[in-house]
Amino acid sequence: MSVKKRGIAAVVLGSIAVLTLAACGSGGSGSASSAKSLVVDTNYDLVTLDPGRDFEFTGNLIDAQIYETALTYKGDDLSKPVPELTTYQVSSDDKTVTLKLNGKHYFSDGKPVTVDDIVYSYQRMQGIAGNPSFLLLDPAGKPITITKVDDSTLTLTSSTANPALPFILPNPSLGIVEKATVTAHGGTTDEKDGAQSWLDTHSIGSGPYMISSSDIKSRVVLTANPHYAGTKPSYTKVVVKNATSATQKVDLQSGQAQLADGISPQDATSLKSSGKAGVTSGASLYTLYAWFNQMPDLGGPVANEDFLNAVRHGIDYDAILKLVGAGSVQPGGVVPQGLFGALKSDPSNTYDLSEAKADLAKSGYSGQTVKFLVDSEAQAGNASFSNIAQTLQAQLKKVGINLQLVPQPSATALDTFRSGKFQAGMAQWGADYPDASDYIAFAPDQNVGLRAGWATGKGISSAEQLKPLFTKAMTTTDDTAREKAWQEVQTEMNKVGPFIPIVQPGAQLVYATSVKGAVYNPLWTVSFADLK
Amino acid sequence: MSESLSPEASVAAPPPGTSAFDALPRRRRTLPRAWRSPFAIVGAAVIVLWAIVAVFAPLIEPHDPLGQVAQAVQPPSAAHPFGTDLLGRDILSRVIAGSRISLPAPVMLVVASLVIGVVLGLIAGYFGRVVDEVIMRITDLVLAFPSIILAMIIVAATGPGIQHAMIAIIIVNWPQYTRVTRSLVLGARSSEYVVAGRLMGANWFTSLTRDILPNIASPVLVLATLDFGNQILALAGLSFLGLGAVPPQAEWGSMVYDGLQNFSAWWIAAFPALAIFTLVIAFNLLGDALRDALDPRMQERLQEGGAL
Repeated sequence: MSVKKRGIAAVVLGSIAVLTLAACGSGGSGSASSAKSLVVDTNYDLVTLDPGRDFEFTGNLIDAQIYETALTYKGDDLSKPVPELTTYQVSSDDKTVTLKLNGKHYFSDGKPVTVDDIVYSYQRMQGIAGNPSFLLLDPAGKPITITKVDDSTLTLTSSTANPALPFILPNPSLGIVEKATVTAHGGTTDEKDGAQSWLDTHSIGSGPYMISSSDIKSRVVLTANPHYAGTKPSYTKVVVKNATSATQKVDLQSGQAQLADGISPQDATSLKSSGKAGVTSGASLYTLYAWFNQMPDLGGPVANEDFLNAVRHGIDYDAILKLVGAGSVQPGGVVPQGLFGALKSDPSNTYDLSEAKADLAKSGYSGQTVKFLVDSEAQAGNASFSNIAQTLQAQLKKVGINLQLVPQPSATALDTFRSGKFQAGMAQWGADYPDASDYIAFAPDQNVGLRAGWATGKGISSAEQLKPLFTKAMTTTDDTAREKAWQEVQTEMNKVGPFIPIVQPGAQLVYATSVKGAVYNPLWTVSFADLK
Repeated sequence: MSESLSPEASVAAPPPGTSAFDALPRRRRTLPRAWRSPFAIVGAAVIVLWAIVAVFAPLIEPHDPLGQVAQAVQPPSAAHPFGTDLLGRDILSRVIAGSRISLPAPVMLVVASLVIGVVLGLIAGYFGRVVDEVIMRITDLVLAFPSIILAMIIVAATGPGIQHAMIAIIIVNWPQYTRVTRSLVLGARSSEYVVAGRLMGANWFTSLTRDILPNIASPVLVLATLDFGNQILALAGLSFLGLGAVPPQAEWGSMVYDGLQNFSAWWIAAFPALAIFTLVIAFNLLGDALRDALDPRMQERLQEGGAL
């Protein structure tokens, strides 16, 4: 098994990151000695703080501060996992990831993190079959085998090539707990596990914070972990409080909270312009896209490449970004910006009215009504899906395309879309983990592809053309080549495919002017330890 | 028979072929007192005003109600007196355009429910037995469901759209008319003037349409007038829930929903809500006045109240 240079590169990058962090830390160490506290307002969707079971935004936010993961992401860069508890190497066949302990890390009770703890945490997460357990399944749907090699090494082995695994490991659900303590509180690696209630109110992680008190319905109080191996955080006490969007705004104005993640983009803008708060925004991991059924009998005039290009060039993407609000970006392809394998931009997806009209003239479309399915309940940033669809309708009318909106409630709209029998519509896809391979679902004959009638063997030339490209992207193992392969897939899809990526809605963090260094992370919102 | 046509009897029940409704204008040259109340006049004026707005909507609208022309989410100003919504559409123009749905739709809803309900109620009450049982059990079945929930189920099954919403509302709305009509027919069926009519050789159709219907018309009409307001609200409610008007159509209920999504921009929801409010209140004031005018017992009570 030859080891690739990716691992080495990661180590180098990791050490650069650590050095940078150390440099920053020494600069701000003056404030670290004095006890500072921070109140964070968030709209609770908290179900559990047990990392093996957590799969919610609030759970991720809190667990990411308490539990270190084998690998992590720095700031908002999700395109490259970096070492945290371990460094990593991937075998040339992409089936095995080898993790090696990355220096000394300590749990909040002072004991060092061992390979046994990591193996136990992963096996427990797989065994209790909670919501996030699928993260440690390989692409064939089989559980990944976790093996201890020696006191500083473990391996994760998949039954088929699984190049996305290093991108999955930073997920807060894969936080490392201390085996001895969790076992003592009823923890097992099967469904009999009884440690959840203890882990909801206590913590045993090696991250910068530990739970001081916790009520999963209203507030969780974190204090600094005295044994944390990294730079001591500036804020020694953090209160994460449940608050609705309106309350968050009031709390921030009155100084009762210093950080809030649920303030509406419009309110955030007014707070910022009044000088009371700062706003940092980032793109979420959702891609909002339009789809057009390629089965000639179902799609009718829309099952046509020229028609699709007319739509691509007929959409005024900037107008939609403005509507959706701060932090939103136009994705280059179906893979959202910031992810491994994403396209930055693509000339196929640009606003050009005359080009759109020329394409439409070629397509043979003559003003027929196109039924356009819209989820009437979904929201993206400032706008509802219905708002966005109405804007698309008005924009495409200028080209000469006649959309008829068909609004349906979320559950019904999803059923209709999944049936694969509808003509066209708008939908969104959120990354389950930050890697392009999650987007295999959009391939011909795959889950999402079939919803748009994109099947091979039906005389649909674009499906026949794209299928081998997807296969290539999934089977390429070298990272550089894999990234290229995914970008090539998207470039081709943007020419002939049935999906038109429209917008990647943004998310924003509003912070009091006293808080520095807030960076939005789509996986766990923000790292409290980075705040000054 | 001679007894049934005596003057005493005609006080309680007018002679066949005429009704309290027919008799009213002949007795009084001027409008009934109840009609002259300031509430009734205000109600009628508001409805007439909205009717004018609806008829001349395309001429009055300052902008295209669907045109995304202006800057988004602008507060009320001289250029856009009601402000603009999230997509930069002029809210004043949309409120005006919305009147073309919110004014005629309830009228159609009430008329359709009234026709279906009254016909079924007449049949059930007049023929009785099996016919009565079948019709009234179906009526009970529909009445057993909360009406807005049943309407939502029907629209969810057929897909959103004003036509579907209206059909759904008619389906849940006719039974109340059937109920009222049937009970009135049951009361009138054995009246001497009806029996007399039958003995004089009138067939069931003539008996129903000439003897019974005119005599039971006024309570049903009062019910219908008071129902206008409910139907405006029902239709707006379905649109608010995303089950009525399909975007981008301007409809007051769905405009209020848009406003709810942007709570900091009060004008998006406030003006269409105000439009709903004025029209519902106007219909209710008019309905009250009509009830006072047509219901003799109520009229007596009113006059007694006036004397006090």
